[in-house]
Amino acid sequence: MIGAVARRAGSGLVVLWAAATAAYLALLAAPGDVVDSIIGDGADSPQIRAQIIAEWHLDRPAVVQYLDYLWRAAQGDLGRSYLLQRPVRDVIGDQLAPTVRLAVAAAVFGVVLALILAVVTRGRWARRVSSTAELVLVSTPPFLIGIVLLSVFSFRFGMFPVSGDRGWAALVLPAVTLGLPIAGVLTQVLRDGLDRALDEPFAVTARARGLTERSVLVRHGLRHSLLPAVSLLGWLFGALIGGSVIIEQVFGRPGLGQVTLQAVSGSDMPVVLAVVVLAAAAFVVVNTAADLAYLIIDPRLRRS
Amino acid sequence: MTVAMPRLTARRFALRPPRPPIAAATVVLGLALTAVAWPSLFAADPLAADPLHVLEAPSAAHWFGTDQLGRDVFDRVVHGARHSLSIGVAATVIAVGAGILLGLLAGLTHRAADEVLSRGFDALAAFPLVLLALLFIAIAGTGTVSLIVAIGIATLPHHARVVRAQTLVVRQAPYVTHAVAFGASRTRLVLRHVLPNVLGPIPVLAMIGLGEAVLIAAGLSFLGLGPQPPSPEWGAMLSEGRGYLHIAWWASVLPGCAVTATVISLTVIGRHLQNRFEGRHQ
Amino acid sequence: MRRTRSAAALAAVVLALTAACSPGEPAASGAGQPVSGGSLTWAVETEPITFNPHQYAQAKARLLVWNTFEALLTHDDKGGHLPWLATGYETSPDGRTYTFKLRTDVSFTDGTRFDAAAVKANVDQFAVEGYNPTVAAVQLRNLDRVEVIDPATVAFHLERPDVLLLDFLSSPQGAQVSPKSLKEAKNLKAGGPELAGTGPFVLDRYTAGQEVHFTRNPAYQWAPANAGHTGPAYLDEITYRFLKEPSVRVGALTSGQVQVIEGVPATDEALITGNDRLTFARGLNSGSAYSYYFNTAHAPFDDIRVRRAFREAVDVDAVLQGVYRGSATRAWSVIGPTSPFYDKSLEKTYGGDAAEANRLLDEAGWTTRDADGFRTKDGKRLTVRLVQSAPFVRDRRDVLAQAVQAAVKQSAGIDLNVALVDQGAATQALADGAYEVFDNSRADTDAGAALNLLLHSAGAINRTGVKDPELDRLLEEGQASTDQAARNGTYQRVQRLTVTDQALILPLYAPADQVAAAATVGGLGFEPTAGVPGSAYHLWLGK
Repeated sequence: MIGAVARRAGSGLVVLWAAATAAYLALLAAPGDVVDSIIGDGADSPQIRAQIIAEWHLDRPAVVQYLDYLWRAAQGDLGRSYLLQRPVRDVIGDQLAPTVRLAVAAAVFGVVLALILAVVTRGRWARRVSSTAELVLVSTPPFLIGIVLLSVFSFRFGMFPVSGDRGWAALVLPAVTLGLPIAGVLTQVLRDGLDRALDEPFAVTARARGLTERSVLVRHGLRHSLLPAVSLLGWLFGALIGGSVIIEQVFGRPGLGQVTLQAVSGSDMPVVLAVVVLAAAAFVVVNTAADLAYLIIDPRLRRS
Repeated sequence: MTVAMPRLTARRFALRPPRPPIAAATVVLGLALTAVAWPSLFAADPLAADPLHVLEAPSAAHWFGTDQLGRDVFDRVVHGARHSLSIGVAATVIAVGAGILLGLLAGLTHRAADEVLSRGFDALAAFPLVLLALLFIAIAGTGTVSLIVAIGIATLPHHARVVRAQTLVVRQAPYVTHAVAFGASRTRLVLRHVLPNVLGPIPVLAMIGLGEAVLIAAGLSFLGLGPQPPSPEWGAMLSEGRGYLHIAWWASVLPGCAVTATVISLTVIGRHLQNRFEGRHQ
Repeated sequence: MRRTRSAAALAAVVLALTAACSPGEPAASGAGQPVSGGSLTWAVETEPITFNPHQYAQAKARLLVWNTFEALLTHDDKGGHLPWLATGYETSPDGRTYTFKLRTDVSFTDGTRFDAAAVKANVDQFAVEGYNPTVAAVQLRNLDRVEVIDPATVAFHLERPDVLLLDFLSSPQGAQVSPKSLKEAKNLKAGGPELAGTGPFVLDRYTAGQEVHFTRNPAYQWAPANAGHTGPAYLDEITYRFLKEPSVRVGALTSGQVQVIEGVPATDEALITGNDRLTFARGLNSGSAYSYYFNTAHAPFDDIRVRRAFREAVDVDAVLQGVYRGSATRAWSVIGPTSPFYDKSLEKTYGGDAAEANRLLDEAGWTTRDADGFRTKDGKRLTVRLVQSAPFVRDRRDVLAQAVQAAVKQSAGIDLNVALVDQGAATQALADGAYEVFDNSRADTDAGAALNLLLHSAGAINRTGVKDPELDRLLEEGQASTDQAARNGTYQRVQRLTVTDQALILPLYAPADQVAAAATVGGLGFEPTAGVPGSAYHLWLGK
């Protein structure tokens, strides 16, 4: 078990290093002068240029620049945004909380909804209706879902705030918008897992022991169907991060998505690099956690 | 958007859609393709503004109503098909083409190279698509071409992985090992035996990938990173119409419905083909 | 330089004092009598690019400036000046020295006393390189030096007479920042909580992209005579939320999340006026009209026929009707219609004649058309570029640009290319001359100040590229003269020259501010002369 964890952590570090390197290479590969790329659309003056050259060691050999960049990234020093005139760590730190709140709320909503749907819609017709809804959900652009929800629940009925990040009420519509497509995918996976599990010998045995269909479903089937679902954790994380860029824009919420979007349209490379590296780090953590969860859910894997 | 089907599971847990949806999807897709090929068949000039008739509700004269400049939303949606779909198709072509090349490379070369490439695919494939596309746009700048390449690169690892896996299977197949035993050349081997067999599942994957690409393209355009106004791109129309949502829902919701209908059709047909394909091979 | 008492100037100040009673006229509301206390949330369209008043550049940010900062003078409702932190001023007969008497009971919210040295520190700050080169080169162009005579007396010595000094000293850029902040603030140019002023509120919290929060300054006792009340502000605190999307602001007001909004789109006015729990008011801004300035430095607008053709190609009335539903006031001159300098005779003298536009373009050699229907000459398309800077886009000017784009295409085959970019990219495009159309409106209280920037050959935002000695001479004459009638004549000639004779400008509409509020909010009004929403000092929350 410990060996497995260590192996996972090791390969996680490799992925992280690869992401940081790729982002750095991307910066070098960008057309034009590196100093120009780092400044982006920010204020430009000889002093600032000198500061950038000093900070990124652009006057030293490429290898030194690269190692220094890695070393600073490892220490959490993500450089400085010349567009916003602030350290990148502050820029991101300020906006992390709203995005985490949104992502957690959306994940909880999506997972709970998927569990309920997968267990409840076992009948032929319920299943058909549910899978049609899932298909529509995964095929609909999330901003359209958001706009329709806004239109109905904010503008028509005034039930939720139109925008911003004030209080829990403002979190409801964005979290639902982000969570619905996730629920769409998870329901399909869970239902499929349940179908397989209920055909397995242990389910037949359980039924023979006189357990009701529902308790077979919940106690045994669900546990088995969770396995493929857990392998989706990494995907879920990506969906949350990618989705939040758009959802934050639709609902005028502050957050990492807005920071990223602004950085991209203003070519604020230090911020873009930091977001990429940060997302990679979070991704590694999530996937490692998913693998460990696998071991916990399925005892058979522990032995090997 | 990233919230399309997760890639591996799309294969593993595919639904089997019943017949009527397939027929409907074919019709929608047919309409969309006609709109791409010959938009003026259905619709007038998408840029013709009429300041005296702005934000009018859907009517016989304007089926989808008018937008904030008095442009006909239906005309714009029809012409938008060309923008939105061609971005999706171009991005998918890039993704599939590069995916095949890199996948073959990984599947046929030395183990170390394969290891490096596969790790790269894994990492990229798991990384949020939108972030990858955004990273590319940040470097290359905004614009339609950059948007296409960004989506192409972001969706490439998936295709590369499939091709690599398929290549490994084909390479172990008895007829290939026999061919090697009989001294067939490497190039000949790739062209005659590996490539045709590897390409089998590609059209189906491309179909599903296209739906995904159209969705991401609409999302990035919505964020203002795609074609600029006044281009009638679906995502951009939605974004422009958003400011008038409470008084004119049609200007944003109807272009959004066009995206949804197209993506659903692509997904339904893609899965249908996939089921048939897998059925044939099992 | 000897100071000479000028009885006339003194009399003018006294007159102004008595003439101005209550220009911050509260809109009628159901809020009843003013009450103290309460907190208010106001949704604004524009997030300021800076909170340092010296760096002020966005008319939409003006209502925030006066919460924390104050100037030596303020405006009455007729374009004249009233004492504020100064108790009065005298002008020397040669017009080259302005001597201000200052209040002695004022202190900054960081405890620093307000005195003549503070005034000098503020003005001298503009001499720091890179601090605000525009103000240094334009508003303070004629300033020789500031002299501290005693703690309550400060003199401005000018190199030549400049009546616009008074306008500067009543503008946000002339507002007084604590000398301590000027010295110690880490982000001086960005401003924020670390900059102390003398105003009725203290800016104590700013969350970028979200909101800015002000708390009442309990020590405040120096409101100008026209403020309508004295002593500290009524409200305990006020929060301004930045809601860029108009529909979102309206939604926030109608659902009760905020009590006041500004920037009400024309499409939503009916929603507000039809609701008796809400009030609505509109004020026309002072300064220059929102106009398109043609870049004459290169083709195609170096040809006056093409400039005229562009103007004729747009039916401005129809375009405004479509975008603003008839709620916008059309502009006919570079100066807004509320200014005393406005030349009414320009009205209906040009524009909206598509046949004339086409004739002019044919004459100018743009005779062929390409596959997209745009005119071409020597294989080059008739393309003109408008680069809009996102932080300055208000009143759906991006949509207006698209409407103009459609109009010039439809009626004359002109390709107007509109790009909405962030400030850095816009600055770059303007510096590189990579534009043919520049859009701008300025809410200067004295329109002459706006024209100096926009039309003078040395103007900081002279984007037409015009260098006309006659025009420069007229502008300098208008700046030097203290005689209002003479200034009227001078500026009318400026308008005739630029709008009619040279067709440098396509005036579009007179910028206005709209404020909508819950009926319980009292004291809402517009700043005298400037016409922008007033500060929070006047506001109260009725029961």
